Amino acid sequence: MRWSTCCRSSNGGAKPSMPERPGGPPPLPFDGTPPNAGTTRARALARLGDDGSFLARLGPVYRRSVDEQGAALLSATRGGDADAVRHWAHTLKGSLMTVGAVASAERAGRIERAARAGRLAGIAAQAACVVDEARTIAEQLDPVTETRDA
Amino acid sequence: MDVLIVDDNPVNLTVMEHLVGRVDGATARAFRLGEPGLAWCREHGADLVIVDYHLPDLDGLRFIERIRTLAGHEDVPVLMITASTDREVRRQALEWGTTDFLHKPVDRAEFTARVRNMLRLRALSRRPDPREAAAGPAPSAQASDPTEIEALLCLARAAERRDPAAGSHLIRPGDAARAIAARLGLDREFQSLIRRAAPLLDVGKIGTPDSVLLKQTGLSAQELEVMRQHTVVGWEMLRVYRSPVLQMAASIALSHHERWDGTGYPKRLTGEAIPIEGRIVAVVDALDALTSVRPGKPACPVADAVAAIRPNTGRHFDPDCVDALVDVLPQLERRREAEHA
Repeated sequence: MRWSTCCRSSNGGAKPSMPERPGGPPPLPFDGTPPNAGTTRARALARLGDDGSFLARLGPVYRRSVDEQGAALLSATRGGDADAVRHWAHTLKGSLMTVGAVASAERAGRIERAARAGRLAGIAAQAACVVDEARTIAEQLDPVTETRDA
Repeated sequence: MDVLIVDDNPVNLTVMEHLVGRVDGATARAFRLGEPGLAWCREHGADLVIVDYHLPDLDGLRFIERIRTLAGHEDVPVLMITASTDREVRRQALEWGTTDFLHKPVDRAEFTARVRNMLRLRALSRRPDPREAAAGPAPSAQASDPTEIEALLCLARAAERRDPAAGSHLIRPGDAARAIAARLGLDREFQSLIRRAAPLLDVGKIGTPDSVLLKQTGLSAQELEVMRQHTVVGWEMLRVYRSPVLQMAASIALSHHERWDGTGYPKRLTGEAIPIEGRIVAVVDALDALTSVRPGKPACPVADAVAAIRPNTGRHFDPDCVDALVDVLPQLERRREAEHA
């Protein structure tokens, strides 16, 4: 099994939904990590000491941050700026880790490492997937969305 | 107690601010950039500093270096947050004044416990020594409070102002002594003590008569003997205090003109019989003398000063102290540039 992309995979065990594209960017190696296992809110709550009111306050901060960090990452990949890609992938990884999105954070970490090594081929598509995941997680941190999806 | 947090990621910052707010008696002061955080510290003072290794405006190491130069922040605990397991990064961070590390992402329980412990340490370090308190009402010689040390520093400055040979310091003697002590592997307590004690090295000159201290031409043998007495006078002034800083200052005052080969004064001690604080400050004092502007003598560039000190290794100075000085000079010069930036 190969895991080519990671989009929309953060809702707890669902298979990656985006098909592998022939001739597309080289896939990220599958490391056996289930994509963000467990519900997003539950993972975030576990990390934050089951403090729902704080998570309600953190949610909008997370959303604004990943919007900014994601846009900067995508812009850096478009511009082929390895240093900026490394920086923004690192920052986005930190945001993802903080809300317990371990698998997505790992993927951001791989982009960071690739950029540090100057390997930018195929990075744009991988970055787009991670940014998409980060935004999906923002939606899922919203208690209303969580209830509706449950 | 005020906890300064600096992290450019708003998500991490919000979480840490929240966790600090849950520690009894702690108030979080959160900043996304290093410079505003430093400005806040300069104005208000922090009891604990938590800083990310990666900052956009200055890296975590430089931030810590700058924090340590702020008055009252020499001993404030600093926790550095880093994902790096690079031993060299960690060694450097410790050398530049980091107290401990926190891993990313921060673990809620570990973070809270560390913050609580660091604040407890900070509170203890600000409390008077209970042994001194138990010794009853203090005679004047007993004090270790900062006011008294400040008063003695005023005396040292007064002595320095009388002395035409004393110039403006290019590199602060306390900082240089501390850096050398760190390089020699002496513990943090020693480093902190020597940083505060070193500026008192010439306090005994307050007792040197003007006729000798201000004399522009060469001193006679008798006058030279009077001048040399500043070491003993300084020691007499300081030795009666129980404070560890002033005890060390007394030792420095007495021993900083001793020479490694036994030709110094006042006791003509040799080699390791000279207290290590005296050996360190002897090198620092020589550097300071060479790099300061003095009557009839322009300031010597640091490189030239080092070139002048080196041949005296093993004769005038402890070889290890000279090597350590050479090693830490780049760090001291960076600090000086940062202060003047």
